[in-house]
Amino acid sequence: MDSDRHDHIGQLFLEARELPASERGAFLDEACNGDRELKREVESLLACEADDLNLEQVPGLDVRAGVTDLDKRLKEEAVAEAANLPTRIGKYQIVRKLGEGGMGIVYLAEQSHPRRRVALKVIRPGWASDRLIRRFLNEAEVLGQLQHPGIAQIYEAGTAKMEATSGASEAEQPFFAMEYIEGLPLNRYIARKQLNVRQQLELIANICDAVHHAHTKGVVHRDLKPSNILIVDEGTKDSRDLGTKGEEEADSHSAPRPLGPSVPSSVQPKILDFGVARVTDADIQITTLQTDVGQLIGTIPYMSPEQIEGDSSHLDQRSDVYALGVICYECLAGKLPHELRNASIPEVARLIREEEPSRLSSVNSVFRGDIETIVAKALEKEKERRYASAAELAADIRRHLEHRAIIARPTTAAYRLRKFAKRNKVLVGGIVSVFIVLLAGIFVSTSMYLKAEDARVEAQDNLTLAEEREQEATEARDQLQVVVDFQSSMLSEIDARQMGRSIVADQRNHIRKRLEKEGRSSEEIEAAVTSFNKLATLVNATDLALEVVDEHVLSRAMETIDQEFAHQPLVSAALRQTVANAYHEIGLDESAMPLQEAALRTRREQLGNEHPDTLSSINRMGLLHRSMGDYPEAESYYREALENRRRVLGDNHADTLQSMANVASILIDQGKYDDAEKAAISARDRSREHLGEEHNRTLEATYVLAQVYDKRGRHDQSEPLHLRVVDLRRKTLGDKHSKTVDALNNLAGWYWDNGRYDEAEKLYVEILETRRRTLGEEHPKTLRSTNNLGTLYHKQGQYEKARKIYTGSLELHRRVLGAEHPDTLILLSNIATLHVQSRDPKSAIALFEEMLEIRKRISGPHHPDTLFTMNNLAHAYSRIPGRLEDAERVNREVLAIRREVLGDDHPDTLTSLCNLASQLVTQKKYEEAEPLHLEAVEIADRAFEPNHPAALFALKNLAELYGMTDRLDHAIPIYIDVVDRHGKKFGDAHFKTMTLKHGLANCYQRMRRYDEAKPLLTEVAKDARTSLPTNHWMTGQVLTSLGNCHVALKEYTEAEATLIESHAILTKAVGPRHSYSRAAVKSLVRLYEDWGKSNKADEWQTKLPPTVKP
Amino acid sequence: MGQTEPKQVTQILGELVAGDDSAASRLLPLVYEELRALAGHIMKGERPDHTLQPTALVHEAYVRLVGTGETKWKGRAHFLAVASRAMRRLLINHARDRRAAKRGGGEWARVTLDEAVAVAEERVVDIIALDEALERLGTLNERQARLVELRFFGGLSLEEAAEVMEVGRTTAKGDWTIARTWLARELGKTKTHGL
Repeated sequence: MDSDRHDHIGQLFLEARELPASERGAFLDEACNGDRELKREVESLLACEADDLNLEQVPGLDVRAGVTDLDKRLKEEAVAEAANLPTRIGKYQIVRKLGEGGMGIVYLAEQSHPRRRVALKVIRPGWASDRLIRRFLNEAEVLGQLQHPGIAQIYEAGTAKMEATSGASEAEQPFFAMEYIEGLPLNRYIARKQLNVRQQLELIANICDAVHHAHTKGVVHRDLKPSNILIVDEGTKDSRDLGTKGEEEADSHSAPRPLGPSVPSSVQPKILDFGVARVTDADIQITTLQTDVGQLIGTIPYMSPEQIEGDSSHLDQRSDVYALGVICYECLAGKLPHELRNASIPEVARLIREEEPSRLSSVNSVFRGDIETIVAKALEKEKERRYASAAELAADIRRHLEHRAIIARPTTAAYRLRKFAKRNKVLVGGIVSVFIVLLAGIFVSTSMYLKAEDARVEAQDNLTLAEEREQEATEARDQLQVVVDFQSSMLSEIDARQMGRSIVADQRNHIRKRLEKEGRSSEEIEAAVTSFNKLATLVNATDLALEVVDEHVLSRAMETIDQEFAHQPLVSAALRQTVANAYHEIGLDESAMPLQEAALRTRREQLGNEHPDTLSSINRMGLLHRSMGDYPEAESYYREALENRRRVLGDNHADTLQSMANVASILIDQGKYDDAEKAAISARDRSREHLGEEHNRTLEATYVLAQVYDKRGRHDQSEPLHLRVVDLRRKTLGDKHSKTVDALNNLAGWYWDNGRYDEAEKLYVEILETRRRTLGEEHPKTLRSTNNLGTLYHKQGQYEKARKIYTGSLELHRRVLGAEHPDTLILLSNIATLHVQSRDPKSAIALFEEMLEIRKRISGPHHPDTLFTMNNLAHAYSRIPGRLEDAERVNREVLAIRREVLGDDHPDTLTSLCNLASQLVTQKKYEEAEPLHLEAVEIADRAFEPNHPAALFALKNLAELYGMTDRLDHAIPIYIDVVDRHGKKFGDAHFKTMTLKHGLANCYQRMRRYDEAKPLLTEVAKDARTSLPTNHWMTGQVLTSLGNCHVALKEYTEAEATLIESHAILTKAVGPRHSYSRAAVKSLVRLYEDWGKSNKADEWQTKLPPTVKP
Repeated sequence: MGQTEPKQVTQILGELVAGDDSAASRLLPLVYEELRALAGHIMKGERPDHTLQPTALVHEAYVRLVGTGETKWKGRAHFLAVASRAMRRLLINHARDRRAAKRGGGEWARVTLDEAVAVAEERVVDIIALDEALERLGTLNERQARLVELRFFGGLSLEEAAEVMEVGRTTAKGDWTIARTWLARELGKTKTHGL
């Protein structure tokens, strides 16, 4: 066929296609004029028009497919090029070519003095124009000004002759030697390490820091892009152990992960290629300005609108801010802000200048809110509206990461409130955003999951592709997991108490605003707000918040899960698990349970019992049961997790050992100390052997073991363990590390329990100081330390010091944690206890009753905390003669619950038993009390160490009972026994030892065995004077007894001195009208009567104040 | 690869605009190198693009080699014409290498999850068959073949292509219709004949 014929065919085709199909045949018959071949040609073209070739769309190169071949080719070329490799440039020995940058070639070279590898940048041979050389030197000058770990450091700049195997070059070539960096480009690093959002943002903030450094030196990079940013990752060690664990939750159950661990400090971004950077410093600018105008360098997608216009005189640091915005967008979204492929240059320019990029949240809803706002501000078209500097961008990113309000948006009151709330682990107006996030998350998840499923199915169909497809599927599932984790962390941040209050506050603002809009007078508005406030007091804010979360967020989430994932049981299970976790976090354990059960059931069925997800659900099940106080159930789940991990991971895997420690902890909770000890020792020994002495698991297990010993009262065995944990933490982490402080806290607790108050106080003061400095005054842990120190003073009877600390921190607790936070409740409980001890039981009862109501609502009626509050309430009742029956009733309730939930042998049950028995004694129901006391002693002897506080307590009670019921011959041997044990354990100067000795001495006195009573009392009086604060009532009481003893032995002079001292002390300690003081006066009267000094007796008799209630 | 001295390119373009056709043959290797370098960067994973879009690549090469200043616009069409040729070569080389690799019994082309959905809707052109067909079309009507090259490999619009080839818009439109239908038929033929 010749070209004329081709054109003829073409012409006929063009004409024929304009005609209706019905007329084409006739037209062609005529036009071809019998040339059947011609007609067939035209007809075949007409037939093809229907299935048009899509030539507008270029198929493009599939990069992934091409990588291998192209890489090979590039490598071959590299080999060819290596033949032309220079051997030496100046004093630098060339090793190999690293690459080619904007205006030259970069070699890896070796320098002999100092011996180091450098990246040597030279201008491409033969291409060096004057202009290039000027720019090259400019780059060197610019780089020389920059000293920052995030910027490739320049070592030297100069000119030198290049030597090659073929001989030396004639001309001097400019070069500079810079830091040789081994790292991955930003985008590849993120992909390879699968950084989560938090880590990516942290990394970008660090990059911003480096860029900002350059800006402060007057340098604008102008060509920032992922390939210009290398990430150096030195941390090859175990970087997975980034989670933290507080000691206050002294156990090892797995906490829900926050947004993920931070990027380790070993990860360092390095910015390269300041080759096109312009120095905004005036005199250098003049030399470069002319050559730069109209010149566009850099890669288009990262160019700011002002840069794309080609007007370099308008570029400044905010152009880099724009590029950082693009980089951030690209990292997070996995695509560029603008779709530039297939666009012509004017179109690209227009897109960048005019079109708003699609919002990040349209890519993934997890970016809704701060992140997309921050990125959008960096990507503003007008540079005046962008962040003024990279430092500001970094600061905003970090604000977001720390849940503080970001500046990148006009801050409305609602927005600020939301940020405030979030910072305090709350979502306020965020209910809605949680809801949206959750639902949007589910939809995103659906598509991801479906992709994963597709990939999996296809993989099964096609064995050759199986491996890759499986990987794709795994990736998609991982992404899904990210979404689920994110939701989980969002929900776990809900603090219902604070949220409830915020809802009320929001509502109040809303009313005020609406009335203002309606133009109401300020009086009317105030009246309305006042009446709203009255109404609001009737509503329990916490209940309100929980209802809102439950009805509007979690229940709806469940509906959506049911609808969307009816056929994807695993996704459904993952989401159920998430929602169950969320319910647990906000304290709705009862609601969490059915979801938790369903999630576990599905995972068992679908994945088997040994799959990590199933194991995670089993663990959560244990945690939930434990949280609900259902220890036997919790134990069975923890045990199952342990068995499965043993089978799957082996006995000595870190996770297995963690499970073992969990089991030990739950055994402790149940008072099964033998088994707990075995499990803890095993976990500790295995961790030590397989993970090392200083491994986190080893220290955790050591701590659990110490707890076992503590609970068994084997404090001598636990002390070295506590000390060891503290030493290793101090050594490996430093004094200020949170885990060190946690360990210190545990040791302080040990000192406290063992009556070593001075040492405890010293540690608590250290802890408080460290936390104030590292965490700030308002951090919950700082508050807890404050509370601890106050309680220590409290327990030592230093009520004034305690009261000061308590009242000082109550306001902070209420403001920072909320009025119903557990810690606030503990503080209130302590204040109430102070009331009891300061003889104001009525105020105490009011506080305890209020707390009990809250506890029952938040934790349920069987929760240990609830029972603890009930105990306190009973104690306060017992201080008011008219309410003794109430005290007995509450004590009986607590005992019944503990017998049922914990069993008879649990220390808490024993305490309840003792409490009830004592209460009955107070009510003089001795017959009822005695069997309870005997049971308590029997349990203590059977189930506890001889010197366990519970055992001592039970013995003391029995002794007192016998004392009270005049069975002194029974009482005395028991007293002697318990005094001995107590003295051995806590020392003679311990308050309780003194009390017990005093009790024993009283028995002697009542049996007129003064010779035995006197030395005992003298000894106690001496200890009391030295160890108790001056004028302590205990000292006074002992002195009264001693005085009475002297009187009985007719040692009147000693008696007089002793009793006058005791009266003075007691008057100061408890006031003159207190029964103690009155008893001292009575003793003095009797002394003077016996002594025959009746005038003195009368004198003292008149000092006896009128009777008051004891 | 690497960046060519812009002055060099600008100068050659100036000669092209002035009518010196031999300038194109001097420009071609420069542009080819630039394109190959860009493609190489992408393929080595220095950029996140999964697919290398020739059109975008050509534009990028233009910005890198010439810039976008107003004064340069005259030479742009000429540059793109040369770049289209360079791009065609690059694509063909790339495709040949891939085919060779497949025949060697090595790797199969991987279908990526995210691309596969989008691509399935379009008719994917066998680039080597297209090149051969285009070669044949060139012997029958050089202008039509060049038009396809400009639009297909250079991403030029019909108007731009017409301007470069110094033909009227109507002519260009007719040529385009004929050429792509002819190619569609040729490629369909190859397919059915199972070449």
